[in-house]
Amino acid sequence: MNRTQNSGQTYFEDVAEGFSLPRLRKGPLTTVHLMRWSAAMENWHKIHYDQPFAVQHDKLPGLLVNGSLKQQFILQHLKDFAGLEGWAWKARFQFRAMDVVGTRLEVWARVKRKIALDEYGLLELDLGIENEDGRESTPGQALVALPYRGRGAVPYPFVAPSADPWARQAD
Amino acid sequence: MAHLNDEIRGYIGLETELQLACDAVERGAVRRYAQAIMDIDPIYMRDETVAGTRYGVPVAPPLFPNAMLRLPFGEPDLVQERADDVDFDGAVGSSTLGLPPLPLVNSPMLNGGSEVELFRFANHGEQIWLKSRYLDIYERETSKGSMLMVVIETDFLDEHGRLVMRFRKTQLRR
Repeated sequence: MNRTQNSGQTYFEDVAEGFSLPRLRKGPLTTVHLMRWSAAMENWHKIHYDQPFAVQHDKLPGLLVNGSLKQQFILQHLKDFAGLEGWAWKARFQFRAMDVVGTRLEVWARVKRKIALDEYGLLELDLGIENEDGRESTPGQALVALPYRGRGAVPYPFVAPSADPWARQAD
Repeated sequence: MAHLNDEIRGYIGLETELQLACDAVERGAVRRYAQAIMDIDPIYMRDETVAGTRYGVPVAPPLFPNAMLRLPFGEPDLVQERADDVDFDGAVGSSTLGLPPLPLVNSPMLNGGSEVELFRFANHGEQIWLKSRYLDIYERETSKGSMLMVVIETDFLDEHGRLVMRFRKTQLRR
């Protein structure tokens, strides 16, 4: 699901609770991918490219796929789903398991709750990243604003609703 | 193993001054970033794609500001200063987002998770300011022993002081 493929705008009315987004697939993620990401962000944490340091010094199972890279995949998935007229407002997730170099990852998301507001509709989603063995490493949630059909785009810059659905929830 | 003590507890609430990212949102940096995350979205580069949209100009990927606290030209270079230190893990400025590092020696760092609130994308050519704080530091027992959970919150602001993004990350220190 990539905007280069000209996927159309999704409207709030188009999705129901329980709807699963098409998965975003990445990988296999090689040392070249990890090095390219380290260079792009100019952070040189050795556990992503220095095998002896990762395994012998930090006692890790191998070179780790950066959490900072995996979270990009989540935001890409939400951004593409929101489309040019929607907005990926919030996301939260935990890196609960390590993914080592060479793995393939799939970002998934499923609509948990629909919240109809005056200006736009909010979707609360469950999400995560599974590796090729089906193991979940990055469970989380998101709030995505979608426009109503025929009512114009979600405000940009985004105007948060007066009542934040997550405000009274513990993390 | 890292343990919470009074010295480390004293970092909770510590906040940076408003910091200006040393470079504006550069077109080349956006290209490299988008290629590295493999998100070849034309809104990042093509004027004709964003013309007539709410963005108006090419924008950076959603989390791009999070990597904008880079080493300013002429500033001390930790990579060289610690070249002989076998325990140097290579993590530099963007890891603590301008906050002073915790007084931990040889304490491996892992990324525990994030929470992000986005208000808009950063535009090409735009300057971004940051303000970071140690929101919380607490200790948790895990299967691998005691770990410190270090929560850093950063506000990314535009030239008018308006929020572009708020980012909260939890680092695990063993």
